[in-house]
Amino acid sequence: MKSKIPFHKRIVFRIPLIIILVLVTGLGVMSFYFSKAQIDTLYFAHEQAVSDEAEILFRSIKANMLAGEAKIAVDLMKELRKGNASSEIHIFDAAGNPAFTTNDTLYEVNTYLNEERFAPKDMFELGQRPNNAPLFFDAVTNVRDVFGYVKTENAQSVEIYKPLVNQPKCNECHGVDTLVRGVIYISHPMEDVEKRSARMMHISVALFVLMVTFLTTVIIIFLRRTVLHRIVRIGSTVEQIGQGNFIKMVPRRNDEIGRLAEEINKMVDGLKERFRLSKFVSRSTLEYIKTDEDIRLGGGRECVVVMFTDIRGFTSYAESRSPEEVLGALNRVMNLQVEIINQYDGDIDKFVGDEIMAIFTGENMAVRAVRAALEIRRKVRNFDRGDGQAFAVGVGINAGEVILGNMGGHERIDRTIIGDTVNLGARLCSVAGKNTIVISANVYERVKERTVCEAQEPFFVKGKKDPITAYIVKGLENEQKTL
Amino acid sequence: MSKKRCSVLICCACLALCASCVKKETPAETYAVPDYRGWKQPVPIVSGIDFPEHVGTVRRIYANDTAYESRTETDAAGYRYRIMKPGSVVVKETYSSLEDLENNTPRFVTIMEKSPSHPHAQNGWLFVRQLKGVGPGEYVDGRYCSGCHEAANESHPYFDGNPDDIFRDYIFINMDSQ
Repeated sequence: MKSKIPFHKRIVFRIPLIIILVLVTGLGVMSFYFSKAQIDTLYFAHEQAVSDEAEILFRSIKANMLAGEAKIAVDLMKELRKGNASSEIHIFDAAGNPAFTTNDTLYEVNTYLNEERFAPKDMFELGQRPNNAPLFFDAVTNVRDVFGYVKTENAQSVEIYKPLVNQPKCNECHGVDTLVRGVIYISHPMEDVEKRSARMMHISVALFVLMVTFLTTVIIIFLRRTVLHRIVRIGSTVEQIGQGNFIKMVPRRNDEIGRLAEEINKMVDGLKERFRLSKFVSRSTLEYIKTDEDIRLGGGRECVVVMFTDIRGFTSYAESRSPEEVLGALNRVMNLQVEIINQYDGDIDKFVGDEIMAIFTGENMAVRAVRAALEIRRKVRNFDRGDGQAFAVGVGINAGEVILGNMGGHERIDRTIIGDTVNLGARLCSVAGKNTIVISANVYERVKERTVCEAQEPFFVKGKKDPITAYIVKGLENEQKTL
Repeated sequence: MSKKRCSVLICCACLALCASCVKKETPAETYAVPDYRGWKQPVPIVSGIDFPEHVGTVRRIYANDTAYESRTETDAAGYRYRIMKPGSVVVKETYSSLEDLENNTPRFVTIMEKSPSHPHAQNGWLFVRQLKGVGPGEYVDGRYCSGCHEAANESHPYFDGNPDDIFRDYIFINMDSQ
C-alpha cells in the first residue's frame, strides 16, 4: 500500500501557501510603501504650509519694519495668533531674546543712524525664549530654515525656526554687523495630520487584509477548480489504470489539462488493447516484447521440453452439438489445461483446435512437464462434459534443441519454436492413446528417477527413418500412481 | 525571429528600462569650479561697499557668456521680469584687501550657477563657496547666500539699484546692459 504524501508536501497545500505568501508580501510591501508615502506627503505638506506662513510673516515684518512700523508688525503677529489659537508665533532676536519686548533695538538703530529717528515705544508684549535652543541656534548659525517636532501629552506639533536675514534694505538702519537679525518661530499642532495618518493607516491595513483574503480565496478556488483538483483526479485515474482498472476521464475543459485527459484516455484505450492482446500471445512473447531489443526476424537454438496435448474424441463430440455448446466445452477443458500448464511454469505456445502446444524451460523442465501432463490427464478424466461422459487426452512430450525466435514477415511475426524436437513431440502426441502420456527417450532420461514409466517397442514415425524409442508414463515414483 | 528570442529581447528591454529609471546619476557632492578668469567682468572691482559678511572686503565679479544671454521680458499683464538662462554662472572673488586682490589670494570665492533641476538648487540657483579660491567648491544649502540675494528682486542699494523693483532672478546686477 502506497504511503500517503505528507500534507506539507502536497501541492494542494504548497501552491495556496505560496500564493498567500506572495500576496501578503507583494500587497504588504505596496500597501506599506504607498501608505508611508501618503503620510510623508501629508507631513511634508503641513511643513510646507508652516514654511509658507513663516515666509509671509517675514515679508510682512520686513515691509512694516522698513517703514519703521514695528508696532504694525507686532499687531500683525497678534492677529495671526488670534486666527489660529492652537498655533504659536514668536519672533526672537539673534541671541534668542523675545523681540518687541524692549526698546533696545530701537536705541541701537538710533545710535547707528546717529540720530533719534525712532521714538521709544511702550513695551509691546511679553515674550518667551525659544523652546528648542539647539534648533534655534542651528537656524541662526547656518542661516537656514529648521524644522522640528514637539511632542506634547495629546499630540505633536511641527515648528519652524526661520532666520530673518539682514538684507540690504535692512542694513540702512541695522548696520552690517550681523547676517541674521532674528528668528521667526511658528508651530502648528499636528493633531489633524496625525488623525488623518492614523485613519489612512487603518484603512490601508483593512484594505490589505481584505484584498489578501479576497484575492487568496478567488485564486485558490480558481486554481483548485481549474488545476489542482483536476491534477489530483488525473493522478487517481492513472493509479487506477496501474491497478488494471481501465477507466476513462471526462475532459471538462478545452485547455492543457483537458488535452492531457484526452491523451490519457487514448493511452487507456491503448493499454486496454495491449492488455487484451496479451491474452493472445504466449508469456515468452510478452517477455521478449518487454525487452528493449529491436524486433527482428530470426532466433537461436535453445534446449527446451515441448509438450503436446490433444483431446481424444472431441470431433465426434462436436458433431452432435451446437457450436456454442462445443465451444463452451472446449474452452472449459482448454482453460483447465492452461491453468495446470501455468501452474507448472510452462508457457502455452499455441492452440491448434483442441490441441495445445506448450514449452517448458529452465530447471527441472522435463519433470515439470511430466507432472503437468499427469495433472491434465487426471483432471480431464474427471471433467464433466455435460453428457455424463468424460473427455480423454493424449499427451506427447519431447526434449531437445529447438530453434526459438521470430518467424514470419515484417508485418506479422510469430515467436515460436521449430525443429525436429517439436516435430517428434507432435508425433508422440498423435500416437498416444486415450489418457496416455508418451515421452521420448530424452525426456525419460531426465525423469526416470522420479517417474514410473513403461518402455514401448520402438516404432517408426513419418519423416524418420530410424525407429523411435518411447515410454509411457505411469505415474510419479513417490506416489506410484498408475493408470 | 523565434518566440524564445523575442521573449528574451523583451525581457532585456524591460530590465534596461528599469535600470535606467533606478540608476539616476547623482551629482557629486562637490562642485567643480570652472576656469572663469577669462570671462567678462560685468561690474568694476567692488570696494568700499559693506554688507553683512563682507565688511571691508574687495570683490571682483565675473560672468560667463550664458549669463549675458538673458533679457528682461514683459508678460501679458505688463509685469517685467528677468529669468536667467540655465547655465548662467556668476563668480565673485572676495579679498580682504586690495593687496590680496593684486596677489590673487582671495579669502573665498562664491559662485552662483543657474541649474533648476539640481538637488542643491535654491530658487533655481546653485550657491557654491570655494575657500581661498582653491580646490572644489562646497554647496551652500542654507540661506547664507540666498537670504540676501532675495533682495535683488526688489529695489536695493547696490549697483543700478533695480529702480523698477522687478524680479531679476536673484542677481543684483543688470546683465541686460553689459
